[in-house]
Amino acid sequence: MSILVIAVGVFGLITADNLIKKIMCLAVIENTIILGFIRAGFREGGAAPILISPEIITVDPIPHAIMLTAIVIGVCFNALAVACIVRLHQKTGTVQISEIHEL
Amino acid sequence: MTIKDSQIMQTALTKLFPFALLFSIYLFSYVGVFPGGGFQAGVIIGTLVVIVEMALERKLYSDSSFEAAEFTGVLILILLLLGGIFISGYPFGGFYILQGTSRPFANVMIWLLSLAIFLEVAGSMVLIFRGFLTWEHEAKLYMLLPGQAGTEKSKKHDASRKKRELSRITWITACILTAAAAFVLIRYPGLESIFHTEVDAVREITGEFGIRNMVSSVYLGPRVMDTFIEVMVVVLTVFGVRTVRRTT
Repeated sequence: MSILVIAVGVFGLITADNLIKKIMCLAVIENTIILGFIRAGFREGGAAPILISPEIITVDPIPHAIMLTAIVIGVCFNALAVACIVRLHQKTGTVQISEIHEL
Repeated sequence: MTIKDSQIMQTALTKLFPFALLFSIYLFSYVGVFPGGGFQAGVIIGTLVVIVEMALERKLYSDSSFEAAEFTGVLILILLLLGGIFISGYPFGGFYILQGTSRPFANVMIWLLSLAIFLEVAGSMVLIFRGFLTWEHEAKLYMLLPGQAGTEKSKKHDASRKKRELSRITWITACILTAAAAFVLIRYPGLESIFHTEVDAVREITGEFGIRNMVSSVYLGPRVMDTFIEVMVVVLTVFGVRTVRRTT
């Protein structure tokens, strides 16, 4: 299922003409990967990874921790991309790639 | 009408502010025991400052105070890195190296790491937001007024014609690449087998040190270098956003 959503994101990334839409497609791919990793850490009948008692079965905490890092990196990436787009918009007055090509 | 005039924003902010602050402090103070951690608390504090600044249309504190918070976080991380190498020969002292030491030591280590992440994330959230504004003019231009797309009609017409010519090639390429990406991902082996092997070791040491929150304890253990690299990426991003916005 997550592969389908990633495919939709890749498709949008290639066909979108608007730079903001391209970033939205990248965000879709990124969030799907996050969901996929959390799904990978899931265990049948597992509780949240807080050890209240020693014999409790929990889900895997490592993908959760990695994905917290991935969220921060994603925020940074989006901020930097949007900053570049704002700069481009100041320079050219548009965010459409086809219009930027003509200038 | 600006955000400042909005009744909803004003009332929600005045009612919500103390509770959000309290929640953030709670998340941060029970790092090793209950759900929470430095990252989540930092995000809440950072967005709270951003929301207050949007509502009041002015800076709460100067840029330098948030820079100070950010660099204190980096400094704590680097000190922990060097201290760990000095004490045990491994960066950060390592979660697996702590096995001979006491429970309080492990808990202090995890609290210090969370403090570093907390300061780092809270400072950089505000600094990235401010990087988009040269406050006086652009606060009104980008946030508070509806967008005014100002492209000329003739240019738009030409662009759409050219786009139609290109569209067929683009669509075919997009379909092929999408199919290729899906094919590669389907053939990729399941991730399940990668992770479940490490969890038992983490669990054992977590139990030994009385750190209940396993997600937090991963930061001190197998993924400690990831945390360090993440913090460095955030610092570089703040610089990058500022550089991009200031270049003329």
